[in-house]
Amino acid sequence: MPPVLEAKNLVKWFSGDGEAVYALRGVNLRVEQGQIVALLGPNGSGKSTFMKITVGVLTPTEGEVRVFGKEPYKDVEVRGRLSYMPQDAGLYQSLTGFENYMFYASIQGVRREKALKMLEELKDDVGLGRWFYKRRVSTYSGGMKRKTSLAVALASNPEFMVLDEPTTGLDPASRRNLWKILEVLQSRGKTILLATHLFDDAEYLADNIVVMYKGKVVASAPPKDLKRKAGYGYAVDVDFAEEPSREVVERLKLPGCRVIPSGGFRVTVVGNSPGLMGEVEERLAGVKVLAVRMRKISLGDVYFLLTGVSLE
Amino acid sequence: MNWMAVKAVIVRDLKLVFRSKATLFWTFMFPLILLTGYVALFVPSPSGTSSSPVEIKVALVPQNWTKELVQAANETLKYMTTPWNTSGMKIVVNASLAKNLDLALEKLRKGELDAVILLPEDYYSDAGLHVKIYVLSGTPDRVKEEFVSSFLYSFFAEGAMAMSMGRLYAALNMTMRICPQAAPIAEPALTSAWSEPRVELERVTSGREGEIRSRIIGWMTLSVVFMNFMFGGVLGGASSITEEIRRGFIHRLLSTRLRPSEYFVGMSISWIITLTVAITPVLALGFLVYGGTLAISPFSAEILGVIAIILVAEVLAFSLGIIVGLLARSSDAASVIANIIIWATMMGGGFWIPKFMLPDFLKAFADVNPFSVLFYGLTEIAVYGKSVGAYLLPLSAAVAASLGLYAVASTLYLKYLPKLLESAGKG
Repeated sequence: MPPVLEAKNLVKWFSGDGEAVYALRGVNLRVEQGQIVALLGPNGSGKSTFMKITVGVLTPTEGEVRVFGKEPYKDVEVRGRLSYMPQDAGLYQSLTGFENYMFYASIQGVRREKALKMLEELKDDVGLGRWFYKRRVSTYSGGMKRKTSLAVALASNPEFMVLDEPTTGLDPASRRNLWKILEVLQSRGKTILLATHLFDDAEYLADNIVVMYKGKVVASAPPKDLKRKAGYGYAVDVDFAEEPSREVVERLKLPGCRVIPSGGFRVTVVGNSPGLMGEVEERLAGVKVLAVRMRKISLGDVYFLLTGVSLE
Repeated sequence: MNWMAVKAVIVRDLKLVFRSKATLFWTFMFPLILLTGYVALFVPSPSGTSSSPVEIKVALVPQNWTKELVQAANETLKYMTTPWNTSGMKIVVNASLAKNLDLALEKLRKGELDAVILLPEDYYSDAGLHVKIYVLSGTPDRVKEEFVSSFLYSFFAEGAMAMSMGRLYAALNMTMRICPQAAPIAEPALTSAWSEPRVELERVTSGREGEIRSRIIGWMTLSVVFMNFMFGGVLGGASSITEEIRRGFIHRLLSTRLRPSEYFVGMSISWIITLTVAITPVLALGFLVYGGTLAISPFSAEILGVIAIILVAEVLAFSLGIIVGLLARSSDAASVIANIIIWATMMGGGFWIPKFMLPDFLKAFADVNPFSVLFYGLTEIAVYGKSVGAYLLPLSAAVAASLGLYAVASTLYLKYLPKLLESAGKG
């Protein structure tokens, strides 16, 4: 089966202040039917630009993107098979959620009866209440706006959904709720490409994680494989009472291990030995620490190891 | 063309317009307030209706405070402050005595008085009446300045005449007593001299009674309609383009099957509907409530021409707004450029200040500005009852220019939109 999305040597640059600003530097990517693929990276890594090319809003400078075998920036019809949920929701504040939904259904060429039938089917999955029909978007909470935006994205019953940071700004409960909705959508056969800078989102939802950094794909693999690829199995977090000195950090550089600054007064040591915690504690003799904890390596650690920067 | 999508864009736009309190105020309420203000401030009152009295503040300064001069000044005050009603105009003279000429003149310069009258020692002598009147000038109200001058001059001229007549009367009486033969000649002369002059004043308006007033209201109504096109079409069109891009709606819209051309057509139609709905209450207020002249019947063939001119003006305003919105780099820049165009066109185009009041170079500007040509064509046909044929040539040129501008706006929209998306997509 041909891939839903295929990007080949995708380059995109914008002109700015007399010189080219590169957003994408030769991205290659495949998304297969029924997959949830997460683009993971910080702001400016090229995720949103990649998505905008994927949905046909921007055109590539070099290379190509094909969705269902067609280039979406050239072929209007293929856009009817996909939907895009932008980062800032793109909803009209003075309309109700329902009116937004019907508007987007209409411009996608979906007849009213069909759109209403579709809404009836998806309203429980997405969790649309009375508020969706009665209240204007300007009165919605962040969670309600995301649900509405998702419903709008589903208005044309797309096969492929492109969601730009769908959980950003949501409280933990709303985030988990959205995860479940996306799982349901996947179970109904939708292919989803989502951008996020939250490791939890990527780890929980994605069949495949694409790590992006400075416009390049640094790694692409399922979450477990990505951790395996990092080459380390365990991590020990050391919380210091104050900023650790360079000498203390040097002491933690055990053979076969790496030290990751995790923000604040925390330093993480990653390695492969199950006895890593003991080794770390040994090195910390005489140093004032608040806590030392051992855990399995996380996606955040992997991200640092791949890019050299901390995301969270 | 997917007309279902076009219809969806129209319905969406109309909902957004009618749900925005700011838009409702500026597009619908403000023109009504503007027209009401215009009519109240600038339209002359109907003839025969009472108007506010004209007040004249005067200080009388006797040069010396001798008993005779003060008595003469008080006598003058008494006559001067008697309420006057001259040919329907009420005049109230608020006069008082002042001791010091310099202080009185200082008050005059400050605008606290309209005139200062110096009564010299020889105010009333055998040589006749002598008085000096200082009148405030250099104020914005030139008409009142002239009126005060004329009124006070006439007052003293008439007073002098009356006093001379009194003396003449006494002299003739004495003559008749000394020489009774003079009585047949002197008596009719005295009777005629003391009788009230019979000067009858009749106001004659040009055309039918009240026509000028109603024509002015008609002109002002259409002027407010065109101002609404300027603000609603040019400024509104420019802002809507830049805001839609800035707020990212256009990205979501164009990620669907919607084509930019369909979106442009939808926007155009919704703007024309909005502007048409917005001017309807203005037209109703001006022509039905305030009594503006509509020289043509609503059921005549000419009304189609009038409607066509209005629609073309709406297209012109919207097209200009789109072009400004596309070429400006931000909402702020679009707003500044649109405002420059609006104010220059309104002030120099002859539909804020009438064209006949403009200097020659602005008249020339108004003669070639399509907005002005459409406006004057419309007023001449709708308010002054001229035939469409009389304005066919300039109107045809303005219509062609407007439709040309619409073509330019649509071409630019389709050409520039990808660039604007790129620009907005950098973030």
